Amino acid sequence: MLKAEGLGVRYGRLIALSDVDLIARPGEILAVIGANGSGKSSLLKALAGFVPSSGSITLEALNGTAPHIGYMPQDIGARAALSVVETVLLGRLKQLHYRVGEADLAAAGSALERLGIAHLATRPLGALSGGQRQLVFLAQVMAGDPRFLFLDEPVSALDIRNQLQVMETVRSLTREHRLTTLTILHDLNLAARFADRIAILKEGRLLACAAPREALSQKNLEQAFSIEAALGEGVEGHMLIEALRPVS
Amino acid sequence: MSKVQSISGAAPVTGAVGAAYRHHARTRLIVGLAATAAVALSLLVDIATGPALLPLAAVARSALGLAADRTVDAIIWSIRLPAALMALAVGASLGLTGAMMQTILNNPLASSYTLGISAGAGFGAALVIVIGPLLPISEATAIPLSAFFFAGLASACVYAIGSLRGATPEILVLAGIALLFLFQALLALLQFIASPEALQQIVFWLFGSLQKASWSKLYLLLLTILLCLPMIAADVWRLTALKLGDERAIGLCVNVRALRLRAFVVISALTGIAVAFVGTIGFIGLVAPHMARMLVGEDQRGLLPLSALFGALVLSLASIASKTLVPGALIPIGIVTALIGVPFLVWLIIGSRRSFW
Ligand SMILES: Nc1ncnc2c1ncn2[C@@H]1O[C@H](COP(=O)(O)OP(=O)(O)OP(=O)(O)O)[C@@H](O)[C@H]1O
Ligand SMILES: [Mg+2]
Repeated sequence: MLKAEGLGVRYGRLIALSDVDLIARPGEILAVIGANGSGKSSLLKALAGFVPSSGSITLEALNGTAPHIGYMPQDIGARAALSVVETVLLGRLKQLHYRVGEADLAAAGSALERLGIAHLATRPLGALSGGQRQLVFLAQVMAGDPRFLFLDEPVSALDIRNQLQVMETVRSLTREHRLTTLTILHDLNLAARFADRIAILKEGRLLACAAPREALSQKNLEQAFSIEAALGEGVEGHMLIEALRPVS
Repeated sequence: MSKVQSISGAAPVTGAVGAAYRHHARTRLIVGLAATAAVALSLLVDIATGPALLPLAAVARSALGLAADRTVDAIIWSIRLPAALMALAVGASLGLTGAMMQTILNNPLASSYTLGISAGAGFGAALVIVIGPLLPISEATAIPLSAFFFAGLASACVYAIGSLRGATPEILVLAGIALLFLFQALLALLQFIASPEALQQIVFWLFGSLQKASWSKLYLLLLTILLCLPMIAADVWRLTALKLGDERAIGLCVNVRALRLRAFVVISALTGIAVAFVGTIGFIGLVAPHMARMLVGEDQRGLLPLSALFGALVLSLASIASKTLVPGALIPIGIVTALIGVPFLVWLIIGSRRSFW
């Protein structure tokens, strides 16, 4: 369970986020969408406690243990001369000892396998493609066994199949382990399909937070993104959003 | 901590990934053992070389306490051994701190020079040499003390200035370079006003020398290393996380400021003592970590020990070279280190096909 009230973030004089009220429940995926610079990343960082914020944040883990957050930043650049396994192991930083234990290796191994990149295990991180790196960092977050999953654009560099596979993995993890998942997405169709609820940010304020069909209305889309959008149904009954043209 | 179930999967140890990891760990171990053997060999040769060339067998016997010859024993135990071990300890300290510096500053060019620590030590030593006669204690004691004090002062200043702006790597490097120039200017001023004899002494100190080594200095340095090792070992994974960039490290719940401060203290203490005893020996802090990185990458569990081993090896080899390059003369160790270190580094850089490690 995650609850934020009157959340605000400022960088010097710039107000990146103000007065956001938000609730996310275990077993649920909350997608955060909004235009570039609307404060999505700032929201995630504030909730994770990585940037100073005003207002109140409550994180409660299911079984009363300390809330363990798995946070995946937006940036996927990396210059470190580390292998993929070493990178994924870092996701378990809190448990790791000088000698890596079997449990840690197993967690890293199955996270890699779950994302279909076990074959990359020994490759140097710096020699991977952007999408491969994104998958590695996802595996890193998963290897840490978090209770809260905060993903900042987890599929932005992935091909269309990997996008689906990753979102499906995230959904099944969230359901099976009752994780509280927040994910920033730019692809509205992915958001409509995989999110239980969608929060829309506009200029640092919460424009809407509701189930996909309610949140993704033409009016909200026009306000949040300044686009004219057409809404429809896909063959499998998912909601489809097509951006027609920018409006000024 | 009761957990519903590991989210990364209920599957048992996955063979391929575990095997790959263990293979990597084994490679690291082999490189480490090879480096250790090379260090041991170099140590023997270093002890054997000098004005009187001793047979290696005699050196080995004496080191093991089985020597027959008293003179050989005396030469080895009171002169050669402390100097040779000092070379290893200083080299290891400089290699280790160079690697840590490159990690916390996220800069492959960082070393104890970058942060003005060596420059501070040089100034401290020169100050005593110039005003020495006015001091109540002997110069032999005062020089290392003052060098250590100013090395510490330099790094404290760097950190203080840096932390005004969040102690980010960029700010720390800038502050370090500023301090470097400040202390170099102050040193130049001292050299300018120094008497010719004092000037010569300053220059000699700056070149670095292992001849000032003694058992007590060696013990002090070893004690410092021993005190620092557990601190480094405790932070080793967090330091590796820092290699992924600050944001990611913070995301992994690393307190990057506190980590940098801890590493800074360790680096200052180790470098400060090392350069205080033997003078400013450059380059090892740069070349040793690069050798280690090319062989085992930047997992700090491999990088740091190996940087220390390579640092020890390079300084030990330099010590041998300083005694043998020109027969009958002793070339200052700092000069030799740079002379053999520079071509070696260039060769490493050009010769390495793998750009990541
Ligand atoms: N470290 C920072 N210092 C100063 N301003 C910042 C910083 N990070 C973000 N901002 C500003 O805060 C605002 C919100 O940024 P944020 O990164 O939260 O946007 P975003 O919604 O994630 O955008 P994008 O879709 O491009 O990732 C922007 O105007 C940005 O310029
Ligand atoms: Mg963002």
